[in-house]
Amino acid sequence: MNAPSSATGPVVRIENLSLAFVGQDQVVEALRGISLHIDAGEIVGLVGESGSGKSVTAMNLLRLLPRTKVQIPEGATVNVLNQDVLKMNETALRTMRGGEVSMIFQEPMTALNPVKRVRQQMNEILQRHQHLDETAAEALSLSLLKDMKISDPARVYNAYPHELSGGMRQRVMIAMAFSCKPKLIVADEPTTALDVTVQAQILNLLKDRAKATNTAVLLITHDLAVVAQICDRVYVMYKGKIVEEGATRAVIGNPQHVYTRALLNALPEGKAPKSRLETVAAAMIEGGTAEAAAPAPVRASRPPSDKPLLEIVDATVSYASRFDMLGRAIGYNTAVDHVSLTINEGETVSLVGESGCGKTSLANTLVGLVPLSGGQIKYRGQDLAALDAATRREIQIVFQDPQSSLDPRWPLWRLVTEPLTVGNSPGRAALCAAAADLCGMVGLDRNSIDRLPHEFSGGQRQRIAVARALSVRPRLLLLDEPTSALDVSVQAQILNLLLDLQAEHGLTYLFISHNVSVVRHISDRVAVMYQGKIVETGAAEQVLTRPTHEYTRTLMDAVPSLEKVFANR
Amino acid sequence: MTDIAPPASANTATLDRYKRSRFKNISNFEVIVAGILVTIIAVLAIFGSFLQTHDPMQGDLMARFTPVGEKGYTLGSDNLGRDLWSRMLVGLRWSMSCALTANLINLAIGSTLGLLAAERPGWPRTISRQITDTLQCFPFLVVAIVVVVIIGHGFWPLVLTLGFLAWPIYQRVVFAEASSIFQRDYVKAARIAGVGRFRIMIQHVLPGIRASLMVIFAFHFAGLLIAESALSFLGIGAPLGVPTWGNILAEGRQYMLRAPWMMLVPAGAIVISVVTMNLAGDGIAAMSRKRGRSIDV
Amino acid sequence: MSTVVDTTGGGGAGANRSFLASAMPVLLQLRRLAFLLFFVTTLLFFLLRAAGDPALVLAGTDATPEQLALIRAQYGLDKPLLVQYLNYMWNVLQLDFGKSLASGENALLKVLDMLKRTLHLAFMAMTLSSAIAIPIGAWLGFRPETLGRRIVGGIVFVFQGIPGYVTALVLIQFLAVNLRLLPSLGYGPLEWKTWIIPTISLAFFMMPQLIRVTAANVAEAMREDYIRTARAYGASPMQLLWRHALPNALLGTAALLGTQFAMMMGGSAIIETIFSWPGIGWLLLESTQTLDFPVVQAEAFVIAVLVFLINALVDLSFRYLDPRLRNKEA
Repeated sequence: MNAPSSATGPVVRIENLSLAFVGQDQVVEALRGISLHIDAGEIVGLVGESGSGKSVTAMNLLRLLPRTKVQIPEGATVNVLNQDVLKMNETALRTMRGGEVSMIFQEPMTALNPVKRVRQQMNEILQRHQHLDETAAEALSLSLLKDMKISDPARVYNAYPHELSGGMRQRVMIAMAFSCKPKLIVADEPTTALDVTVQAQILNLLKDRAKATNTAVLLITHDLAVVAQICDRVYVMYKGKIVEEGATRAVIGNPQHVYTRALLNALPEGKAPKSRLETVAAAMIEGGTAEAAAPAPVRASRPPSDKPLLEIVDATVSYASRFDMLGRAIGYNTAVDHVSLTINEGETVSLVGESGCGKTSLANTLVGLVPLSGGQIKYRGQDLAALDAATRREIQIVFQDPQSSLDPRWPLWRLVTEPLTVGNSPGRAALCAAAADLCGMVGLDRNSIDRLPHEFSGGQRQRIAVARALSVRPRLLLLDEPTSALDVSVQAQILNLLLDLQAEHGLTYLFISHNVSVVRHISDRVAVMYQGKIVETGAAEQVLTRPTHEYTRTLMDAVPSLEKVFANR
Repeated sequence: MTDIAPPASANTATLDRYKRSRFKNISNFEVIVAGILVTIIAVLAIFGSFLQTHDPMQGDLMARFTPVGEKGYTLGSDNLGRDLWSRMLVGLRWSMSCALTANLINLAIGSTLGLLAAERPGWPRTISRQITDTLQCFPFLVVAIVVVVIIGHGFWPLVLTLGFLAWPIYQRVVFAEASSIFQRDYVKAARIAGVGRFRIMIQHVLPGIRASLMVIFAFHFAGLLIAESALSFLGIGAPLGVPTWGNILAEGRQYMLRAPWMMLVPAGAIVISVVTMNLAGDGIAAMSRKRGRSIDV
Repeated sequence: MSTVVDTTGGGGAGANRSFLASAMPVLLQLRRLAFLLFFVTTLLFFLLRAAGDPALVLAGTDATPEQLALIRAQYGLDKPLLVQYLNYMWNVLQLDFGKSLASGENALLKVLDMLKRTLHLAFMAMTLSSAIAIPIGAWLGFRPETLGRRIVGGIVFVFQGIPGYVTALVLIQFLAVNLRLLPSLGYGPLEWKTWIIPTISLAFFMMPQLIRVTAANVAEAMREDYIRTARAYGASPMQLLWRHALPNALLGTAALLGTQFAMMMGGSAIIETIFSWPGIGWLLLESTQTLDFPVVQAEAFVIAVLVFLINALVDLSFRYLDPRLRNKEA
């Protein structure tokens, strides 16, 4: 360990830091005069939406941004362990990186080298900073992995990253971060890529280890509930500035800044189901006053009828997974296993489950992308497979990733009217008129119909995807994680839009999500899916507050929730 | 109801920037240079017969081994006193039309099989890949030598041999790229909306792979030029008596000491045209990468 | 919180697979090889039959009809084509391609003898080109933006446009003719001087592509997340390159080496002709032009098997270099 850093003073002290990226023809300001400090052993959250500058702040702590492309005006200080990193040379920085300060990244699959064993990757760091020999490094690594509550550290230690699950990889990453007894760990969205149940374990692990070793943590996240769960203090960032800071409880319980308030109001959690969520944009434009926003009135949505629109009876979907020499399938994976579910007209049914539980396979089957291997699906009393094209088109889908769901070469008017051109060919003028109407319906600018997808923001692209689905006047809309690629404030807008559209057009939704608070907000009924089976079905309120199945209970316990955190503290 | 990320007023600015960047992309240095060179080559190939200063076949025995630029022989003359410039023009036309036709045949076969394999999993894919694997396992120059020798000299034997043997690169790239486009949600959305397979192919997939096809077309053109000149260097491509760069080079080789230009002129021409095609491929690839980035951002 | 057990268990997946399942990749490869050899031999049989009458080649052009008939009967050439084809395939199955029409040697042995020399050349050229190209490629891809790298990149780009036989001719001109340092042609197994120009010409032809692919792969690897991780844990630029980026980037290089080997089997025909190097490239041209059917067929067969083996070797090295592929079936 390096001698000079003493235990006195804060671990990190940033003052008046501005930072800009210099491109070929433009300069983009990423940070505008931020100041923050972290004390020894403290867990500090840095919250903000995408583009707020939170990751830039983190990367700049160890000067990991390419120096030729970054401009830092005079007058800034970035002190880490009483050393000014802005004045340090690369060699000195390298001793600090991974030694006294280490990092945890978001995507554990890509953050670990795919062609090296965990053994090589951990030992490399121990040899570099602690100058241990192979045996000592192995002993230490194994004990570190054991500290991560891994039951078979020896297997994990000798495995390649692809042989481990996402949660296990993130444990390895955390073990690496703690390996050289750092004073500070910077965790950049450490749980965003993980399932809810795994996320809870990883967060607790991070917190326990940090407290046990008196290590300071800077946790970067977009999720206020994650901050509430483990952070002592929190900074809120918006467009390159820190707009609010304070003890987690104070900031979340009694936010002072308009943006923080708006962000909390945009969360569906704790709001009346199906109520209109306040959007950040509105709050920032109106420059809201100190009073909390008036609770929005619950929309008068039509009560769902008892008439079944879609009946899924004993549906099974399996994929061929292994083939013999002639290319015939000899092994199958069952993605959906004897699932039964009924959706009534005008109702919102949510399908909740973690990744790989089969919810997306079921959705793909409903729209005919994947054939049914067993059971039956009936739409308005008819077998799905026997439907005529016009009726089949009454079922439409909105995908998760608006980036991939729009052809990057098509202008808006072509994108949203593509379904209308099937079977007949209306002229361009008619299509443009239809496109303008659809834009009006989903809250897009009618004059933007000539623009290409990349000229729109993520939320606007998701509106385009909704508009395309609406173009053929569907009755049943499958929403496959429609908000999980979006920021909280944008998510609120899309949820509002979906509720408005349902009230106006009497749509039926099958809402697929892993996000329990969103599901609670939008659904009438909920079905919980686990390993291809539906383990529990019932009214939303009942399933989510008084779960009967063991898995549902585990899931509910794992969901980070502001209310729960404050109730327990 | 607008999203916060870009303020509404920024949209026109974004549009302007996009237009400007598109213009800037075209002014890519490599593409400009390659464009100029390709134009020159095309003009020489098409109007070559008007630019000949001598009869390419008829030699003047009094003017054997005339060095470059002397006595009206722009690129010198050969061992029989034939004008090298005029012979090179004939060779240019032969080589270019050979490579172009073979390339178009490759493009047609390779992309059809690639699209088929990407669109239809199951036996069409298996067959398409099996054929490609087999051909790829077999160096096409080896097959070409055997086939051309056996079928005989001439334009069509050579072009058809190259055309039917050298397409696997197209199949592989088209298969990879088209498969990835078929996985995109926008293609799924189109299928759900009832858009037919053929229309999806024409409207979504082909525009998506167009840039890659242009890049391979350029690089493959260079490869075919090398293959063609190599075959005629061995004396098995072009019919006897037709001057091609390959056989001019082979003749020049015998007079390496006496008249080095007889070797250097065709060798230089081959190198320049191959580099031009590589340059075009590189430039188009750089352009589409740049544009891809501006779309992704 | 209790300890957790990883459920994905990629490591132990192979243990309970049946023997048949684990032999599948090999069987699939053998199926491919069988298909390839069937395709090649059949195609060549009919092509060569279409090209000329083997009896005429055997007997010479001034043979009498009686002599021709005798030869036809002797070689089974008077039977229907299909019977001849089946006979021929039966012989091929026993690796019997017949005797060379020109010299009377066993065709297969003759080809294998020539193959030895071609393989020597190919091996030397590939070693030389990888030894030079991989370090240069790594250097170029590591930080592509500097002026020096751009200039080297440009030179490599122009060199990529120079066909191998042009290089060979230029080298002969300078080293053999002008400077009289080396012999311009010929082959001597122990005469190292005869090896230099052919090796350099072949290596020179393959190098630019190898450099460019390595550089592109290194540049791509350098943008990956695990490089950022390594940097965040204090790795120096050299460690980033050699320990982290290069092992990943070499995957693409290995694939290219396989392709280049196949290309070289074709390219050797030209280089060997230029240098009168008695390898299979030279033999291919020779035997095709004299319609020496058994030799051509044996040669095609050998090249196909060889290229196939090289591809299988590349596959294998992929499995070694990329552990993600180890547990996967072909």
